Amino acid sequence: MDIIRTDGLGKRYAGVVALSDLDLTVRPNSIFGFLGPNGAGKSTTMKLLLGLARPTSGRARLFGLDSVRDSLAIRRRVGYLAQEPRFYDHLSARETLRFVARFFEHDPTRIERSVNAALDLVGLSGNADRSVRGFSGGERQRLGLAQAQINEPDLLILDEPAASLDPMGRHDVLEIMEALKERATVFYSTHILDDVQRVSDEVAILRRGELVAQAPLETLLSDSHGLTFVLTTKGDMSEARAELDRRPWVASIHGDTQGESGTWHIGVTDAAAAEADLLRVVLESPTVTVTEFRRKTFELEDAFMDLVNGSPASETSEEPRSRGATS
Amino acid sequence: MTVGERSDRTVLRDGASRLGGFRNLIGIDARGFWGTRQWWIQSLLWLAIIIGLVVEPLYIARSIFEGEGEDILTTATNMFFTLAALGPAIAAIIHMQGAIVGEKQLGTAAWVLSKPVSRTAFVLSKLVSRAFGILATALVIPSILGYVLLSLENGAALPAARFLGALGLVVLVIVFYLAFTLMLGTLFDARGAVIALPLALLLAGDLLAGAVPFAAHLLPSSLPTLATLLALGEPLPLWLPIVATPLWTVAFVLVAVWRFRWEEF
Repeated sequence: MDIIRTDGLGKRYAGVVALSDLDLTVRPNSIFGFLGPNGAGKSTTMKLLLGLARPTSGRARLFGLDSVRDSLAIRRRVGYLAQEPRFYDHLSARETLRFVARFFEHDPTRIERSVNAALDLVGLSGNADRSVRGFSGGERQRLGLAQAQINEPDLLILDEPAASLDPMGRHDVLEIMEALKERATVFYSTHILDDVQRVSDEVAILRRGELVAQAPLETLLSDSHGLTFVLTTKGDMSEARAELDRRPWVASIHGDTQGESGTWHIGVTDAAAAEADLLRVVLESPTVTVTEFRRKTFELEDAFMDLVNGSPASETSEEPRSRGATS
Repeated sequence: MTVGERSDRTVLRDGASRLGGFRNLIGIDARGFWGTRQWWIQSLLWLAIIIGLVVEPLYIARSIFEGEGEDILTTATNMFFTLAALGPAIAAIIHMQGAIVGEKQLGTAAWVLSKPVSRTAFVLSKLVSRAFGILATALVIPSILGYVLLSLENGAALPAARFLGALGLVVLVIVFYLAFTLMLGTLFDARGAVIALPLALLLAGDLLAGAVPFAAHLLPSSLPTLATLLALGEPLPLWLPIVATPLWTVAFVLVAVWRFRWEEF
């Protein structure tokens, strides 16, 4: 069963569409990265899942339960970290965690155990009895993460969990998320694409309230650009290029040349055929020397920019040449 | 309506537990009041104001009041119940005005409601915790002292049951303004209206009753006078405010609970 499933989920605020027709599925025990520019609808989606807002169309189900009708039952199994976590300023970190834990547990001994474990997890044990009023942004974020997981939820919904953290803090948060994956599903939004690429199993990208992609990270990276091989050559490529053009698995050839040197991006539809034949075809040409041959790996940023802007980042930086064009 | 479109009339349901999280919320609100210096500042402030002004006709300016032909016991009793209602009612409005709006603005309401907490419990906890706080600090201690002073003036202990009944009327006034302010907090997103409307009603209630005589029957503004009469064993000329005020209070609470269930964050 999917942990989260939305069907045509939508939200309008006074005629403004914040989220439109969202179909999303999140598998159990995955780390699911939810990406998109500011205002794309990420936080709105999370609030709809938690019952903090009502959908104007469609529905969302968490653990098979309806997000509106069964909101209270859902919230028993969910931990949530808001984008800018806010707490009662008159409480200390320990008191804040106790307060949250009491919504789930009544045994004082267990509550104390959970509170101490949560403080240890996020590295706040030394500041546990300080008033939250004096906490820095990073400390609030850590406390937010601690309170979100104190009930050992089946699902963690984290809105920008690494925002306002320094690099060490970010590193710690990613480690915590990876550790929590053992017993929970993590659904989180972020702007930090390096983090997504590091820890996410699956990614969804929103643009102006609409889902533009959802896929496992590897699929998203390869699908967004297709499979591409990179050749660096010296000499005249025209004969080899003509041979490649005749191969049915070659989808595109983009090249940049400087004098006799050239870098070629060859898009293919069949990875196995390309791995078997591509280099051989080029080397059969007596006028070409191959100095580098590799399969191109894409960064999530490339895919993100492609999907959000609608044009491949690699193309814009490499001045694309159409297939068959000379360079 | 397209396929799958949900009616805007859909309410965020509380699920199985209508008051889920109530005790915990009361505890944390009480911690915010009793765990800080708020409670003793409140206690001292209202003790000084209420008893200080009641002492005036009894001891400080007795000859002036007697010179004007007033019965000192009646004057002091009326002053006590008027101040015992007015002062804590102002405190109630001030304390309640940020309870809902403040939490909505700060984001703590969204945080708390992301936990298994019913919205009904959230709203009611604000009312109950503040009612206990205000009544305990602004009414109980001054009332004990007021009872002693008025009994000394009377030459014998005032009938305790009547005095408690009169205090009950004062409690109705305070809880009325707590509930009214609570309701406004769920209806508005800015503190201005939430504090201005109940203060205007409290301070201009007598003017309104003068302009629209029937309003005196429906509003709590006449309850302090009725409390004085009740404490002194006089017959009550009006009964309707004693019935109308709790009915208004219940209505305000129901509206607050209903409206808050529609609140979106």
